[in-house]
Amino acid sequence: MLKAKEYKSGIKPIWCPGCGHFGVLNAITKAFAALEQAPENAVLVSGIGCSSRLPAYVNSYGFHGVHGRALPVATGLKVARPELNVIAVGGDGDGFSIGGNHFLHACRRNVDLVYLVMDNEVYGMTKGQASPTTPAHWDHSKLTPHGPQLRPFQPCALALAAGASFIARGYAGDPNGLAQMIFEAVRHPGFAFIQVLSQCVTFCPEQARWKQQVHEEDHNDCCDPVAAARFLHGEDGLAKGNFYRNPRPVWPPSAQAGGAVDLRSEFAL
Amino acid sequence: MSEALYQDEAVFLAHSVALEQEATERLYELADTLEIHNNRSLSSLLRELAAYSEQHARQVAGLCQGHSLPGLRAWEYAWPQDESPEVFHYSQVHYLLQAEQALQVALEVEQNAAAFYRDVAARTHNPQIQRWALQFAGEEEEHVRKLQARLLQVNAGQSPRDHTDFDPPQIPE
Amino acid sequence: MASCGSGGGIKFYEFLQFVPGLSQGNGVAADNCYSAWISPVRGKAAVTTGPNSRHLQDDITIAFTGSGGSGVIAVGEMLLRAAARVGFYGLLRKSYGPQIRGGESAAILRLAPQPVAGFADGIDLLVVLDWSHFSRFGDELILGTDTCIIEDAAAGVRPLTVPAAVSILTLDFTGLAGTLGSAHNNIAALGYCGAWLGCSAEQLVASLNHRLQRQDSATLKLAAQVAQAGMGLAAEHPPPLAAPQPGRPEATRWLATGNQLAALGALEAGIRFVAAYPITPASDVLEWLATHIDKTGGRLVQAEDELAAVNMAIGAGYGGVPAMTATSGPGLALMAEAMGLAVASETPLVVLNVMRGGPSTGIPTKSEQGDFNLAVYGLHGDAPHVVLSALSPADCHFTLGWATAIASHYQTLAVVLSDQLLGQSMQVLPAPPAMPFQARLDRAALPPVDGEHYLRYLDTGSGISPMAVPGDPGAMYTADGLEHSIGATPSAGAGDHQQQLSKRQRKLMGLMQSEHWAEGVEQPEARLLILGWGSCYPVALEAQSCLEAAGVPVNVLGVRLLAPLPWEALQAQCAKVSQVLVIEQNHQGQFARYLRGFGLQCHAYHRPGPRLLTALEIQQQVEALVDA
Repeated sequence: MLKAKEYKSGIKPIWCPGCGHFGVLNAITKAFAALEQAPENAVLVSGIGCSSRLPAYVNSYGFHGVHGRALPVATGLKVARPELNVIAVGGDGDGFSIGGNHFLHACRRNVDLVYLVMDNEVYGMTKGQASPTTPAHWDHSKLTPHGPQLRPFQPCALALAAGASFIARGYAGDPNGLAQMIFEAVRHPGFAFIQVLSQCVTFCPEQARWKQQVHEEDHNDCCDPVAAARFLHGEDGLAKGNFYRNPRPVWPPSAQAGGAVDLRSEFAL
Repeated sequence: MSEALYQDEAVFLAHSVALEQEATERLYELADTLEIHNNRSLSSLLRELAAYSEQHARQVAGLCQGHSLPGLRAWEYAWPQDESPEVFHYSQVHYLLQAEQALQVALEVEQNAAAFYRDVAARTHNPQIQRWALQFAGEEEEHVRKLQARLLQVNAGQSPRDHTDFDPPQIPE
Repeated sequence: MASCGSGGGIKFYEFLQFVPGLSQGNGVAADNCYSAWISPVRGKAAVTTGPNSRHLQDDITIAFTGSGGSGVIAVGEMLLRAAARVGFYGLLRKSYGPQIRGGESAAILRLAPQPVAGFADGIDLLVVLDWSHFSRFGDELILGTDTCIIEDAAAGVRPLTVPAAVSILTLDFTGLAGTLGSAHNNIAALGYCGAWLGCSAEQLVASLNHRLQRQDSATLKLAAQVAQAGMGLAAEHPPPLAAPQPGRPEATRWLATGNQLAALGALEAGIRFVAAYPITPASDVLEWLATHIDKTGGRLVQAEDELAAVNMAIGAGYGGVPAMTATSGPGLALMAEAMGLAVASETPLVVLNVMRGGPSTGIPTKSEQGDFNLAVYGLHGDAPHVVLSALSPADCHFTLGWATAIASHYQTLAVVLSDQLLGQSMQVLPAPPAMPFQARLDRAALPPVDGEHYLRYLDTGSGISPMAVPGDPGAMYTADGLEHSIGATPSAGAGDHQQQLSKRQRKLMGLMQSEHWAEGVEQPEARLLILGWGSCYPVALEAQSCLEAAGVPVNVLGVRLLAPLPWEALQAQCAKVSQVLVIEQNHQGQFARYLRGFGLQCHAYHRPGPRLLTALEIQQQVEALVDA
């Protein structure tokens, strides 16, 4: 049985001091300790971005792919190797912009994965551009000097509409609560989506205030999509808690045993 | 869990161990990060603070011998807030953090830790737990005093602060 | 009824023979076990060196055309199956318009007593069920003055473009079917042609039942009656040309498309994960896999787009499960970024690209070889990878198997280029030998763990690093598209970059020793080499036959390993002759430009699709070069 600390790989993160992603890293290692996860049977899959650097920092297998494609890689891996614990991680740009289509279809497909999006409402790695979750009037980026002027993407409401069977929002400033969410998400059969408010103190210093603003909204027992939708369309985006949990059949159904099969006879004349 | 914290020696010790270990790990993590971001003076200050916590963690661990500590999951600890009281919250740090601010945060979290133990001491009915809690609270308060002295020193010697960031964050990917 | 002589204008069906001694070292694998169904005359072939005297007078090309759901493709398939049962070998290609249903379509069959790998140029017998969209085929259907046309009485107005000199026989297939209460003039035409080829009623009915297996018994019975009525018509009004004679094949024969054979080859070589996004003309590869991979214990996922498909395959490959996807040009372009990831992260990946006319949506239903540049050059950065081309429909089996083994052994990307012609043509072929390739990760020698990091990207002598997969204890690492050190930690260092770039290039050099890099047929006294790839290879063989008959011996080489190119081996082949003619089915001559980049002095002949390259035009090119 490993301690949380022993699930860290020893590679020093490149993240800025104060970055919420440290909290997420700690939450994952704490969840792994609680799960008594064998390091060799867990795989963290990511795309590109600050948060996508995370797999290298965990003492498990990892795959750091291209921008936006963490979910397809994770899906392929999990379908091919169903016995592994596969967790896709990434940021809001990676998951909701360039990878948005995969997000919808992963919710729909319900492969037994966990998808953890570290949402800081900004592209940190390319130096602070607006992302799909950036507030409409956030004018700190040279690329959108008047703000993105677009309604922010609502990841949890979208996940619900697309068919995710586990939807929760955590806060990087609460690694213990987040660890519990991850623990439960791993145990949830099917696609589990966790949006993590993970502050970028470098490009969005105002997110330091999340510590005071984030509030608990637990809907642990909510398996009614209408009630969940009503809540998600009315909340301020800073609620943390379990919003929806409604297990449904996992894809793919259990595999048939392979073996010597006749693939040729159909061609014979 | 909170009742167990006040009445069960093993549970109390598990909290004490976790409190110091988490404080130590967070400080080292932050020190490493500041080093990577080339804030070396602050990094070494944090290592110094981490060493204190580490030493304290060892003392607590020594007390645990002979006790079989429960394997609590991260969210099963009865902390007054989301995290253990002695850790630097991530929102409190920044790559431009100065020594004064860091010491201020350190002071705050030591005070939190002292308050945590004082609270346990007040609520417990177990004399052993009360002895330990008072002892630890005293030690945390000793740290508080040291940090206050250190802060005065830093403030006295400080040159006018300039927040100009000549070397803003990079674009690695 | 006008009389009509047998044979089209371009009837040189000689197939040339293998020259012994080519299969050693860096030579050409003229003698591997697959050669029999790539080039047709195994056995006898290996002997001769003199001029060839076995001209085939008994092969024939039949085309069915129609529109509006007239079912000509179905007739082509059923006739090929029935003819195969009689003893013919053959090949069927399909030409569709872009419509979902009801557009112009044509089925072109070539039948012969021995295996055929390619098509002849001309059409001996054209069966027209409907003239209305005939002109859309343009030059795709070449009518000679001695082409015989059988037209349905209800085929409509004959276009003015049909040469006046051809003989035309009008038969009332529609009326015949109608008297039996059927609307299927195509089945009457099937019976007519089948009887002419010597098929029995049982053989035709068996073909009908195979095709219509989901229909009720009344439908099947009626279809059988219509076919038999068509047979009767053949007895009264036979086509005005001599019927070809079937062979007496001894071996077990198959009927399959190139796409099916590719899919089978992939599964037999160990592919156990497929990610699929539909695209013409690759969808049928994926569909065949979807209905068969479960039996092997593997899985197919229909992805949301090509970006997902290729990344899913990479995920499975990283997990140690041999994985592939199949697509066509636009899909390949979408996959290009992730293909670079497979190269950098050294993840086994097979991508089958069934080419169609491009760029952009282009001509989705028709064949072209325009994706050479994309496959060979289309990755970003310095990204050594493998590009193979399948040399016939049957060779799709071999080449997919080889690609699967290469991807695993070298932990790399293997792209296989096929095209609509190879993929959707249906071939009667000798049953392929057992799959000689198996996907195998070289995991035996896990290296020592150096401190904290498993040395996943260790720079070994061969350049092939050990590859642990999730589940292996003590070897955890993070595969990375970021440049990395040997220990798989991200690195922007010049030394690590140089080391990994060199390693990834060097590891593929093992392929230079492979005898599978090309197929070829040599002739004594040849002074010119026709050099092609993919579906051009059978055309080149056809041209070689024509040229031999005209007294011009040439060598033919089809390159299967396009990248990395075994340049020295290719040079050795080119050194045997004084001129090299590179042929390909694209506008820019992409392969020829590539070869010139290596320093090859060559002539090039290339032309875009969808009008297929013909043996005649290759022959004319060669004759012009030789005369000059």
